[in-house]
Amino acid sequence: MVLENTIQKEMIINVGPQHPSTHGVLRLIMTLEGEVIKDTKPVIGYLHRGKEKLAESRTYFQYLPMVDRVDYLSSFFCAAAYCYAVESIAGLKVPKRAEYIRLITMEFNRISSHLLWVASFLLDLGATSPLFYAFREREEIVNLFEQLTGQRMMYNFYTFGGVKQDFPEGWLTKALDLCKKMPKMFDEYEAIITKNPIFIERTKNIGVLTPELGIDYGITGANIRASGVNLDLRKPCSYSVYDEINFNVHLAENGDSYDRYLVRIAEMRESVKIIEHAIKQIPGGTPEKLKMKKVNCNCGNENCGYCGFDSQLTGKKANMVVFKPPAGEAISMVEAPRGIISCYVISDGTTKPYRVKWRTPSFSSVQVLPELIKNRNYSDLMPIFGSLDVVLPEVDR
Amino acid sequence: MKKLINKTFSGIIEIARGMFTIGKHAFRPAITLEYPEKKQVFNSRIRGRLALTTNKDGELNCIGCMSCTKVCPCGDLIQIETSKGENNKPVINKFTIDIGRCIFCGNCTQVCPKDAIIMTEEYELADYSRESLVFDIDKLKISPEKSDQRLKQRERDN
Repeated sequence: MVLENTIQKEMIINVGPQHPSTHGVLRLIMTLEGEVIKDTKPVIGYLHRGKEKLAESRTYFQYLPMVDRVDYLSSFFCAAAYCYAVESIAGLKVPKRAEYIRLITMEFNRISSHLLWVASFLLDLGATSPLFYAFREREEIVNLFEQLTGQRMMYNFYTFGGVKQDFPEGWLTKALDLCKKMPKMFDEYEAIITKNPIFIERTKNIGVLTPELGIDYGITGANIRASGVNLDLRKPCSYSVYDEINFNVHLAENGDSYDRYLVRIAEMRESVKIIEHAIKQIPGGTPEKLKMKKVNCNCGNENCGYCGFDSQLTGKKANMVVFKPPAGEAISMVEAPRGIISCYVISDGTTKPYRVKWRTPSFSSVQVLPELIKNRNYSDLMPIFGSLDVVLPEVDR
Repeated sequence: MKKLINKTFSGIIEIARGMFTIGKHAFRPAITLEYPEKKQVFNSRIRGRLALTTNKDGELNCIGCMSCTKVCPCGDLIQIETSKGENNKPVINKFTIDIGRCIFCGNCTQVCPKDAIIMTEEYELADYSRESLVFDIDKLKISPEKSDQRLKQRERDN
């Protein structure tokens, strides 16, 4: 019988590159036996823009707006990684107020990135209403960014040695209001999603990532924390001012798709707490108060709370046209929503970087996908791939 | 058997709880903005179309220092040609910006020593051909009153 032959034979199919649920353009060459996936080969490179090569023909400041496009859902983290690397080459010190502004914006960015992940993950599974709910909160965060930086996605807000502008008037109040509102919104998602029997059936014990496998493949971020590995760069505080803020790292045990969901929801709640805490103890206080005090102070003391170094926006202002760090190399690591982003910069003493290398977390997540979906049904592909939180432009760079 | 019944019951309850949350939204105000009719209100930090400011006499503030061309990440996007006029004053003969290739990063406005190039609130820039997106001085120039108001607004907000 012809039909029997086709069922027993292995079949090779292409998923993508323009498949709606591949989060960009990822191509998967799959060997199927009936409905069971036997082998998968991810093909990447459809979104390659040559971000590393572009750096070599541009000055440090010319490359700064391009960094945001490495991962467009977490622009602040990429910019922070690049800035920390160049700052450590050039020996620029970042004032504390600038570090706090960076921290607050980065945590907001983490929430907005996770919200978009919740939306697209549930959309992959066939639920449409969480998309609208997630975008409702994301819109408010993006509006805050727009008031602060002037754009909704590509912020270009960090500079070497600090940030470009202070908060506008009333921004911190709006941010605190949003922080108060947000946990209730997360409760709403959890009411719809977390205990939904259909969602649990499709994600529990699906795509189990064991800690050994995760470490072998270099998985970082929420994906490895869901497997029970305590790896969070914010806790040992290798960058920024996270050591002055109390927060917990959330872990799960099983490492399946459901746990990855739980860890991300818990991380969003934690980020809200971090922002509230940071706004409370930002040096200099609100911008209105700082402006008033600065005019009246004029003491010229380095340690003054209002006109000293720690309440500035940038330490030593770098000239945008002739910025020339000394020869050297530096690596910086930042805990982004998807994992550890690291940026490696080599300077040869000219105005242009000799080499910029990005290590992005989604690249590892795509590599581990064939291991996770081996001998699984085709219908398990989306719960597993969606839960890994892959952003394709970040993979290809 | 008992397990199955338990599972079914808890499933029904959880789905009902979710549907109740969704149902509540029918009585909430709409969160969307009906775009072409209603437009968003921006503050002065918005990074829209580039423009050249003018002084009280209606002349360009630009002095032709070429700083903006040096920090622009898009290579030859901004093109300036200058010549020396009377009293060694620079005269701008040509100032074109290819808005079609501009990424609105704001580097040029930041580096400008005379606030000659600024960003406006305009963001609806679609056109039918690429050539019409290359803006020259006449298209980029804004009136003295407008540039004065824009610069004052920016100073107040920062």
